[in-house]
Amino acid sequence: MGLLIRQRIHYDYQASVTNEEQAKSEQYYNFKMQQFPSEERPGASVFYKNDKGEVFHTYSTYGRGLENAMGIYVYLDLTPRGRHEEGPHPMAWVKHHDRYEQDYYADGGNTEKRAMTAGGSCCGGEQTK
Amino acid sequence: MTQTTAEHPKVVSQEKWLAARKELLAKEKELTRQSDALAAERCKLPWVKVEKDYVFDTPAGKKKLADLFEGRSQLVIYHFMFGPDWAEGCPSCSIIGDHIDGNAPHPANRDVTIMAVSRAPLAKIEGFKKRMGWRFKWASSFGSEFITTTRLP
Repeated sequence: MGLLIRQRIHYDYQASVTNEEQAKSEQYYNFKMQQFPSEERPGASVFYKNDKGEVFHTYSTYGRGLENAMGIYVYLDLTPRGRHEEGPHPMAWVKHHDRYEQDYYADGGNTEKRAMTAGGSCCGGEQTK
Repeated sequence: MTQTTAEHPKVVSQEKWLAARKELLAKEKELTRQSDALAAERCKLPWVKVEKDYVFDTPAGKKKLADLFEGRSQLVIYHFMFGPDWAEGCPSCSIIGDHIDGNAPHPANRDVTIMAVSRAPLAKIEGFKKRMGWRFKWASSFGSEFITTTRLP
């Protein structure tokens, strides 16, 4: 088994794959074999700890199972145009909040605005490196 | 972005709008009740005991999985896409980060610790957090490690 220095929780809970796995046509994600464009994958895992200090894994969700974690989508869904996500992948329009063209906050909070390729999201397009 | 479209739904009287809205409301309520039933079922999902000692780097030093609960009995880990050699975290995960930040104190007072974990080294995570103006807890699982060959099914 070798020297066990650290176990990465990401590999066990479908949130990362090794480079070798990523080179294959399909990897295990969201409880099935499928292709995903990045070795890092979005997910949420839930754990419970009892009085004895024992830890239990109770739940994990991936892909669109995380949509409820984005309450702002609720507001988009209330508008006549909805999400209108017509890009190369649904969330291609999403940028870091400091990189949008339009400053929402009056104090000019958008400090980054660095050159960013369209559809630069790592969830379906090019990964951010 | 401001956009106008030539095609849009019909413009109707207030009465007709109200009738259409109530029809949609009935469907919305049906979905809400289904969602409640699903949430109740989720609470009954069986558990699996975690036997591994996962180790994380945090601003307060090395922590085990059991330490991340911070005295609470429930822990939600968001697997934030931020690879060891990436310059920054994923934009789509960052919109989720925007939601966690500012909101985490609410579940923290309902026995739920919400935090993020990434494979990026802690220094990179801390730098990105500062840039994004975030304060939520975010641990790193970076480091030399033993990679399991048997994945949890």
